[in-house]
Amino acid sequence: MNADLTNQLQADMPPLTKLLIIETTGPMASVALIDENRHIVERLNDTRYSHLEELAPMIGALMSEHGVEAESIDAVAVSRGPGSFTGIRIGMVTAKALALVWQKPIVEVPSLESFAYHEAFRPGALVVPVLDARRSQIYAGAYRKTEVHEVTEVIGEGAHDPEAFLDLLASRQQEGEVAQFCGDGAGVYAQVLERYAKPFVFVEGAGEVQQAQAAAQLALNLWRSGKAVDAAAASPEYLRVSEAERKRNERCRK
Amino acid sequence: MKHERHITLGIETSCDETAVAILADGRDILSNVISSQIDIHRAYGGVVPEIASRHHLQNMNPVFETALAEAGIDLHDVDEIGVAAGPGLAGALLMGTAFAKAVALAAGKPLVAVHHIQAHIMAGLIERPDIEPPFVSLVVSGGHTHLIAVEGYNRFRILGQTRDDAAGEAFDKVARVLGLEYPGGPAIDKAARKGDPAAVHFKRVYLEKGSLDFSFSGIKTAAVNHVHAERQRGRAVNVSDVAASFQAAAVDVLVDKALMALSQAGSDVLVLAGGVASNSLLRENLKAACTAAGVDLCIPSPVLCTDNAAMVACAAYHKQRLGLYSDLYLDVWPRLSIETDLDLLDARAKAG
Ligand SMILES: [Zn+2]
Repeated sequence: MNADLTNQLQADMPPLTKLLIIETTGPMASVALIDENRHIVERLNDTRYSHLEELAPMIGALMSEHGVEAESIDAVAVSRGPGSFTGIRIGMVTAKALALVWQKPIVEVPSLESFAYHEAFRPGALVVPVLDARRSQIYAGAYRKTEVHEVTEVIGEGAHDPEAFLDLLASRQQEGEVAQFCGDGAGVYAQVLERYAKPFVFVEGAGEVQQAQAAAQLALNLWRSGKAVDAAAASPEYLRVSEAERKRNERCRK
Repeated sequence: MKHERHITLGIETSCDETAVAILADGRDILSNVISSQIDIHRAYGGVVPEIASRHHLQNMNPVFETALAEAGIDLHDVDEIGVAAGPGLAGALLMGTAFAKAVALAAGKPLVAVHHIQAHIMAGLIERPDIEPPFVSLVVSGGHTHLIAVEGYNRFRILGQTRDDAAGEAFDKVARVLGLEYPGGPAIDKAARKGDPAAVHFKRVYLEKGSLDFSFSGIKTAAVNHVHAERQRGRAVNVSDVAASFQAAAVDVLVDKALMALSQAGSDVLVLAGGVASNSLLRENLKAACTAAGVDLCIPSPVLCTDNAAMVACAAYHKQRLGLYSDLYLDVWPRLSIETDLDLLDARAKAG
């Protein structure tokens, strides 16, 4: 192929999709860029819960390191929860501001489902993210990784009592599957989860907590299927009302 | 064409107001957008931090866009972004600060971290740009009762402060006992207009001779006890009289101490600041006392007294003139003395 034709082809090709992904719903903040070929670059902060201080500088550093300008980003993706309320909000408000200024849409990425997209999990894995929801509850779901970048839902995200969730999981876990417990709630509720009657392991290291590289894979799938919203409309999924609202609702019901 | 005016954008989310304002040359308000959550929190009898944070998150974009649109300003024309990084509710401060940092990053604008209470004082300078430090400020709000010597645009010295309740807290508590609605300050103000301030005598608490500190818990407790005692005796409480009497006691002390502070500091300029500065009796009595004493009194209009972002933009404007910029690592400081230099604190935190 001669040089002229190469240039011609490149000029005709639409620019590659690039998504910026923000993940702050867990203990460690991370940011990533993903393109149409699923090439991912990521920055991970190893200090726990320093999202506010680190997030904006991390985004700046990631973009400048890889020579990515705002114009070449198609959408801002953000892990929209569940997770730490404060963490969810720091990521979401940052995504909303970036998307507003850059005039890009937002892809809201469900944090529990995105666990299953982590490269640490092989196709066939039954991924069970468990987050600490306090008040003796967990935010949890279960996802079967069918292909490298495809996941099906086994149990949808929700706030559960741990015992009830395990009963539900047992009823849906297939022969030969090993439930892979991950997320910061797995450690907190280890004593309960250890009593689970079906095969399971606790994931340690890669894939253990929320990470932008995993959210990025799901974000790209969502983006391709047209699931993007306006910056102002983007909103978090806490899976729970505030304590004050809960108590007030209880009083009103009495 | 480069605009000739210096444009500052301010962001404020310390408590339950989501606010963005745009100021030209530190004094001309081009827009001052405030989204109040007061109706939401009224149902809980006070500000619920988690609910406030949730609303800030959803309010930020529309408030920001409205502020730019109303000012007719393009983000490109903004010279710096100022944000209140403390003191206040941690989760609430986080929203404005994270948003400001992201805007600064995305638009390539410098960031200026602003002290919320210092911003309240700076609100006076929006309408009165002729006033320059040094001057004295009386800061009265739900969380603060301070007499401050403003020695420079970034030099604040405490002359006196409350040793127990903030004035606004005392107003809220007395309003609650009187069955008035939240927030208590405006409710007492309104009820007091129909009442007799001499109906009940509440002791004015001045503390030691020459002290510029305040104590409002005594006046508050006396008012609460009076209401309870009357009810126990089966007597109907005259809400207006108690409100008027309590308010008169609190305002007397505030006015007297403000004048003492002026003479101690050797200043003849007083800037009133904070949410309680909207109280009509405080305004009237302070005006009368200052006129009599030959003091130049600056009372910002009510919209600049309660939480707003124009005051933040004004403070940011004066800080950038001193070269006091922040960076994208900016953290929030929920508890922050008014004397604390936010920039030094932030730099120290980063150093280690
Ligand atoms: Zn305030």
